[in-house]
Order: sequence, then structure tokens, then C-alpha cells
Amino acid sequence: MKLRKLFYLINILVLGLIIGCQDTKIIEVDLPYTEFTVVYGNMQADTSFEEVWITRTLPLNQTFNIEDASIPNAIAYFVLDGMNVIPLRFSGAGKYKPFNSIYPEAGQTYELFIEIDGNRFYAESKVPEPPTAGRVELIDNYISLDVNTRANESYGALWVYIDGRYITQADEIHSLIESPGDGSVVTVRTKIIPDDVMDSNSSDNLYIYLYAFDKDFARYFNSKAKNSSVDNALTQGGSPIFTNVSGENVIGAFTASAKSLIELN
Amino acid sequence: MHIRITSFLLAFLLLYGYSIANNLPDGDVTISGFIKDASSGEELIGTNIILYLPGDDNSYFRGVASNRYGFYALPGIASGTYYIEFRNVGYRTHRDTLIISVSSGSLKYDAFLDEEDILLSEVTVSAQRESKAIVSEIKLTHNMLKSLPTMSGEVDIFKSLVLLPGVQTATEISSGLYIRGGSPDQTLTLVDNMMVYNPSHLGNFASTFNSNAVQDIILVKGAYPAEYGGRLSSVLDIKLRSGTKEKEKANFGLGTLNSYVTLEGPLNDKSTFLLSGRSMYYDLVQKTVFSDSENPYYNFHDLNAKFTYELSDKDALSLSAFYSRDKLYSPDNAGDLEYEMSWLNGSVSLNWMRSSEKYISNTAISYVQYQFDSKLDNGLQSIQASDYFASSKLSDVNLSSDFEIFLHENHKMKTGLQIFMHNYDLIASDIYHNALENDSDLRTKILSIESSAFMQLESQITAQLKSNVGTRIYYFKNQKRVNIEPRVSFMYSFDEAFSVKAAYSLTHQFIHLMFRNDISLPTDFWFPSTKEISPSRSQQFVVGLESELFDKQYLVSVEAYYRDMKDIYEFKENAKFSPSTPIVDLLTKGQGEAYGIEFFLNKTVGSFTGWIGYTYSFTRRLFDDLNIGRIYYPRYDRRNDISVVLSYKMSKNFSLSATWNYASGQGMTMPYAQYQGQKIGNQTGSELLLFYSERNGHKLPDYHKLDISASYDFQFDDSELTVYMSLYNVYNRQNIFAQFVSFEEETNPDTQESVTTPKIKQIVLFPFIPTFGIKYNL
Repeated sequence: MKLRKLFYLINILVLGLIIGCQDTKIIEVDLPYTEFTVVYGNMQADTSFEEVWITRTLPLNQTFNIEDASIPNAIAYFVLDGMNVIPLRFSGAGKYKPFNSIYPEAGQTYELFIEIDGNRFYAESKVPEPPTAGRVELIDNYISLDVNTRANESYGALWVYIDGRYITQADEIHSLIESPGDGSVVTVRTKIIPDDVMDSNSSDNLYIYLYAFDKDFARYFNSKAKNSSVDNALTQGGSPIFTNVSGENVIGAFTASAKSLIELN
Repeated sequence: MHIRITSFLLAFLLLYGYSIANNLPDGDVTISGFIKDASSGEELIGTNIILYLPGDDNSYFRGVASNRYGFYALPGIASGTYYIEFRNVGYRTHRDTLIISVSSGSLKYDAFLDEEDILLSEVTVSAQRESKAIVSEIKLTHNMLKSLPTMSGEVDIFKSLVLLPGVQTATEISSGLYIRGGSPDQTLTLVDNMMVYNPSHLGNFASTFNSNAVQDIILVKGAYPAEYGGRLSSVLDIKLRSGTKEKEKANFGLGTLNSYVTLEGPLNDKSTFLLSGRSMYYDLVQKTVFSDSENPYYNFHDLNAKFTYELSDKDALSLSAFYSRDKLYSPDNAGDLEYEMSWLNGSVSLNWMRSSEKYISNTAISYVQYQFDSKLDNGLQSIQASDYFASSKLSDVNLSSDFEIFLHENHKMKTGLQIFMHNYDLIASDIYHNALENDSDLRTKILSIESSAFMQLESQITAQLKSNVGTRIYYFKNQKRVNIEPRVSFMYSFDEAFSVKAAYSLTHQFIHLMFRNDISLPTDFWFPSTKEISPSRSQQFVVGLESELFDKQYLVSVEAYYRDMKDIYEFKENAKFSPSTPIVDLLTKGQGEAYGIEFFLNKTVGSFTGWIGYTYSFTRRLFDDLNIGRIYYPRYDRRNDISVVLSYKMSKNFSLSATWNYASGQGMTMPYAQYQGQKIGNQTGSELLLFYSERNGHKLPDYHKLDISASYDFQFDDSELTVYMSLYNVYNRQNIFAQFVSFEEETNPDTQESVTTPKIKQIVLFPFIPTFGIKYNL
């Protein structure tokens, strides 16, 4: 009798277990969307300036199409050192180019003016001087160097292997070091040089591209690094990327840089 | 600010002196003793002890209430004949004649009360309303715990606390209590005077604390008195039961999700024991029945033990131990991300309680061990943003001693001191390797020492005005700094049914709890204040009113609070975790504030009881290095929070309870759009970027859920059995746990090129879940 009652009770428990439904549901969903204007421009000292990108954001849940994102009716122009106006024209795929080639020079200040359907946007950047380095040293499998700093700049370095006409270089800088603003020396380093580059070649062919960026680039670089997205239900990535373009509902960056090729030896 | 507070305290002391002068005792005899349950021998808290003068009208003469140890003292009684009465809800009133023939000295009078049926007499959270001048305090006694709503067959204390206004959880699988805008580290959790770092189980199916082992719980949501310290926000003080003196007893329950057993009884006439353990095996159910589920696997087990020994009439020793271990880990089909989070609490404490006619003292030495490990591995070749390994091991030794001195029935002083030695053993890394767990050279080790002393006076200044005024002084050795914390609270009663309260507190905290804001799983990381890391600091202001209505059947209370938080810490955005990087370099300092208003309607009497709570609140943070220096709201910031708790005792055998909770959706950092970014600086070309909301700037849909549970008691072959049924999320609300971006590869039919489309998806973890179980009492 006791066992029979116990058997019934166990059956009830098992039944409860089976009835208990447990499910994880993953479904697609739309989020609220507000359109933003996207402005990008990057000037390098003594290098031909190609274009400013003026586009719009697109909603998620669709494949990105540059034609949909393009804004062909913007009025855009540079003002160089507060005096010379350099108009820009739409050339397709969200790009605005100058009528004539521009070669930004160290110390010049470029102001970018944009107007779209009555909305005005503005950005400004000063082209840095090419940076100079003191100590340059190969430490194990990366290069470290001391940089002489100037105010409102930041610095990064790429390793470069040059063998005649063949150039191999790191895909990105290792880190960005901001100038302390007092003219002192800071140390920057490259990413690790791959073994195949280190093993098969003499260090005589190793060089460094040392970059000086304007101050806003450092803020952009750091906030963009934090923006990495994560494709996983249990994680969320991202944080706002710094923008130095002013105006309503606008994001982007308008920056300038200069680089020097430094010999390892 | 401090000058004003000091002036205020001086004024109070003058008033206090005046009060004592006008309330000088009539004699010099002290009546004191313990109030205990006649059958189990357990201490009875909050028993009213009333002394009457002899005569036809038996007029009221003096009265006090027993404290947490069941102890009371009535000092200053003159010789003569009195009637003494002991009243406690759920117990038969005990009355006796007392003849005091001496003019000075002490009289020990212990009372043992017999239990009676409490069906029609109480019960809910604040039925034990004591007219103390402590604001925001909720007290749950063992009898009250028995009547709270049950899930999984046992009283869910944690769930009941979360359903109180001002108390929240962050997500469905978060751990810890978020009280008045503070993170879980801002709540001081004590179990038998042992500081416990995070005793929380994930808050869905099982109670945080084993209700069979709990004697009573005090929750002070803010502006807590000087006897507590070391945390910014609130206090959760749990006292474990001593085993019954009646006879050996066993109680066990078997359920589809968890089971438990409690053994207790006398060892001899001077000592008792209590052992209580639980195991939750939700992961076994998941693996067996729901093998396709992507829900995280979860299990835990915990153990409570307490031994008591009466050395003499005045001295008692108790040895308490608490152990719990939780593990949350990825299912087999979790996709690329494998994860495992585990946390362990272990503590043991030796307490010596001594009572005399005018004071009761408690001295304790305790050892606490806590460990929280987080492992996330994306399984891909390159390091992903979600790859993470962190471990914080804490070993504490704590010595404390306090005295509760009964100066007069209207004036009680409490004083004490504490010394904490915290040993931290920490590591955080963007990658996981066995060596990180085992190589002590890679880990950061920190010794942190803090000591404190406090004094507080609890007084009935006039017939209407009560106060609790105190101060706490800290010495933090690592920074060689001293902090002084004033604490004041007042209550003014216009009549028996209506009172107003106000309180102010200044608090410091010497440990910091950080989370990965970008990971929805629990990733607790504890770090102490050091030479570089300042202690956090908070001021809290609370005002409130309280009224009892309809013959004290209903209690209504409204409280408003404001608190600021200085020197609080978070991980920097995109912090690079590495054993070679000093952890202090990964932290950023900021500030915060929280404010809100809480409404509470509580039906306290009858077979149908329950409460409705509503909270309207804000909590926000400001860090230079987070959210580009803009104000943001933590994930657990919820503007509106409503909870309804109903409990109906249909008969002596059958009870039904239901809870409904509504809360504004939690915050997340989500992308709103996609755009083409230009690679600038040293790179050329374009890249697809996502335009994110501000930190936690996107709100998930509102959360709401109804749970119902029922239990039926019956006799089974001379034993008491209870069968129960719990229905979780009765109307199957699809509460969103998280939303995320999924990058889907597609082929363009026109160009046959492979394109990536970012799509927003959302995940629902817990739909309708019924559970059944059985409890057995021997």
C-alpha cells in the first residue's frame, strides 16, 4: 500500500517534469530608427586629398547599399586657413571631390562646411608636422621608438618591410599615444612583426611609419575601438563613437595626419 | 554640511539630556531575561513585555520589546508588586505576578510562550510593526516567513524581498539585490554576524536563503543605523535558527527542480544543532528533457549549520557555518560562445553571547571565503570582445564585539567595534588558460584592513518623538585615513495610527564590485580600496509617513529618498584585461545619484493577506571615461516598478498565493543603424559600422509576469506531507532577456556576391513553467 502511494507520487513528479515546458525563443525584431548624416574626411600631409564622404545611416535588418546611403544634393566646401574656398562636387557613391587636386601641408587648417536641405554641418582639422623620433629599437619581435611630441597631437607606429619594389606593412597601428602637451618624449611601439617577416629577412629592410595625428583622431580611434559589435545573445557591444563634426543628428570624423618613414638602424 | 549636522547632533544631545532628566527611574531594580518558544526553545523576537501596577484598573506602568536574541531588560523598577505580561503574535499571552522586595539589584525572569494557531491573527511582511525610529526597515520573523508565497515548495524569501518597493533584480539571470539604485555590493549582507559577499542564487526558481534555517531577516533599505557599516546603501541582516530543544526533527522536500533536507534537535539539555542543505539540479532537467535548449545550465547547492551551547545562565556559545556554490554554464548547443560562471560562499563564525541584567553583549570571530569566477570563450581563432576570464578570491577574518546597554526603558545604547582583514587574490584576462587559475605569480594579491567603532542611542524622547542617533568611525589602514559617519533618524507619532519619519546617513564602502556592462551573464569582480582606489562615499536622505487603517488591518507607507554616490568605480570601456596590466589601470572613477518614491499598501490581518508596492525611481551615473563623459543610466534603472503579492489560506490545509510584477524595461546598449565608415588615419577603404545608442540608452520592452502557487497539507501514514504546485509565468509573457545583433551572410541574387546583413534579434528565456513537488516532515 505504502509503495503504491509512493509510486503515484513519483508519477506525479515525472508528469510535472514533462508538462513543464522550457524554451528559448530567438526572434527578429525592429528597433526605433532615426536617420543621421555621416561625414568622413581624412587629410594626410603632402599626400593628394581624394574625397569627403557624405552619406546617411540606414536601418538595420537590411543589406547596406551605398547608393541608398548617398546624399547627392549636399553643398560642401573647404575653407583653407580662413581664406581660400575650395568647393567639393558629388562624384557618386557618397563621395565629394575637389575640382582640383589638393595637397595638404603641415600647419594648414582646413574647415569643412556642409549644407543639406537647410541643415548645416561643420568640422575643422589642422594638418600636423611630420613626427620625429629619437631612440629606435627592435625588442624581440616588435619595434619601440621614442617620439618628440608637440601639443594637441597623438602618435602611432606601423612596422614596414621594404625590399626593393615590394612593401609589406602592419595592417594597423598597435596603439595610440597622446601627447602630454609639455614637449616631452613618449614611447610608441609597433604591432608584433610576424615570424615569416622576421625570419626570412634582414632587419636592414625594416622601417617604421611613424604617424602624427591631430587630437580629435585620438578620441575617434579610442571610441571606435570600443564600438566593436558582438554577434551573441548574451553579450552586447558598442559605445558611441566620438564625432568632431558639429550639427544636428550628424556623426563622423574629419581629421588630419602626417607620417615619417623611420629607419630601424 | 558636516558643521550643520554636528550642530544638529549637539542640539539633540541637549534634548536627550533633558529627556533623561525627566525620565529618571523610580527605583534601581532591573528585571531582565529571555523569551523563548516553550516547545522549541528558540528565542522570540519582538515580544512585548508589559509591567502593570496592581490595583483595580491594572494600569500600564512600563513596557519594552525583546531584541533579536529574545532578550529584554526593564531597568529602574522600584520595589513592590506588579503584574508582568508577555505578548507575541502567534503565542498564548503569558501573565504572572511579580513581587520585588529589594530596593536595588536585578531580577531574572525568563518566559516560555506556547504557540497558538496564527491563522486569523496576522501575517505579512510588516505585520511586526515596531515603533522604532529606523526608517525603511522591513523585519521578517520565522512565523512570517512560513506564511510568505512559496515557489518550488519552499518559502521564497528572496522573491518576497524583490517584490518590496525599492528592491529589484537586474535581469532574469542576474544575482544580487539592487536596492534603491545601488548595485549588489552596496548592500551589507550578514548571516549570523558573518559578512557574506553574494549569497544570491539566480533569482527565478529557488530562494536565496534556505528558509528552514532562517530565524529572522531584517532589511534596511537605506539610511541605516550606526550599528551597521561598510556599505553604501542598505543592510540585509539574517539570523540563523538554533535547532529545536523539543526533539530530533527532520524535514525534507523533493521537487522537479530542487530538493532539500533539514535536521535539527537537542544534543543534550544545554546544546542544540541544526543542519540544513539544498540542492538545485535545473541543469540535469535541462540536459535530460530539454537538450535542445539554449538556456544557460544552472545548479547550486548550499548548506547551513548551527550548533549552540549554553555555558551558563548568562553565557551562550554558537558556531554557525554557511556554504553555497552556484554554477551557471553554457549548454552543448550554445554556439560559438562557451561560458562558465561559478561563485562560492564559505563562512564560519564563533559567537559568544553574554547577558546581564542591564546589557547583552555579542562577540564573534569569523572567517569568510568568497570566490567568483567568470570564463567566456568565443572559440574563434582571434580574441573577441566577449572573451574573458576573471577570478576574485576573497578571504576575510573578522573580529567584532558589541554591547546593547539598557539604560532605561526609553533609552537604549548600543556600541561596538569591528576589525576586518580582507585578503584579495585577483586576476582578469582577455584570454583563458589553466595557468591563469593555478599560477599564483600571475595573480594580484592585496591585503586590506579596516577597523571601525560605533555608538548609537535609541530613545523615546517624548511620548510622540523617538530617535536613533549614532556615529561610526572608520580607520582604513591602506590609506591611513579616518572617516566619521553621522547617522540620525527620527519618528514622530501624531497618534497610534499615524507617524512620520526622517533619516540621514553618511556611509563609506571599502570594496568595489565591477561588472562587464557588455555581457548579460553575471561577471562579478571585487576589488578593494587601495592607495590608488578611494573608498566610495554616499549620503542618503529619507522621509516617510506611515499609517494603519481600518482597525490596523491595513498598513500604508510612503517613503521618498535621495542618495548621492561619490568615488564609485567601473571597468573602463574596452578595457584590455591582462595579467600584466595592473587592475587599477582598468578602472575608472565616477559618481552617481539615485532618488525615488515608494508606496506600500499591506493587508496585515486575516486569512487573505498581501501587499501592493509601487516605486517610481531614477538612478544615474557620470564617469569621465564612460559614455563619452555623458550621464547614463545603469541597466537596472527602471522607472516604474509595481508588485502585487496575494496569499490566501483557504483552509487549515490548503493555501494559495499569487504574485504579479511589472517593471519598466531594462536598459541595453544597442545599435540603431548601420553606416559606411571611412578607414582613416593609417588605413584606407571603408568598413561597415553600427551606430550605437548611448550606454544602456535603449530600453527593452516592459517586464511583467504572474506566478501562482498552491500547497496542500495532509497526513500520510502518520507523517505530515505537503504537495505543492507552482506555475511560473502563468500567461506566458514573452519577457525579453536581451536583444542583440546577428550578422547574417547572404548571397546577392543579382551579383552572386556574398553580403552581410546586420539583423536585430531578441531572446526570451523563461516562458510558462509548471513545477511540482512534495515535502515530508518527520
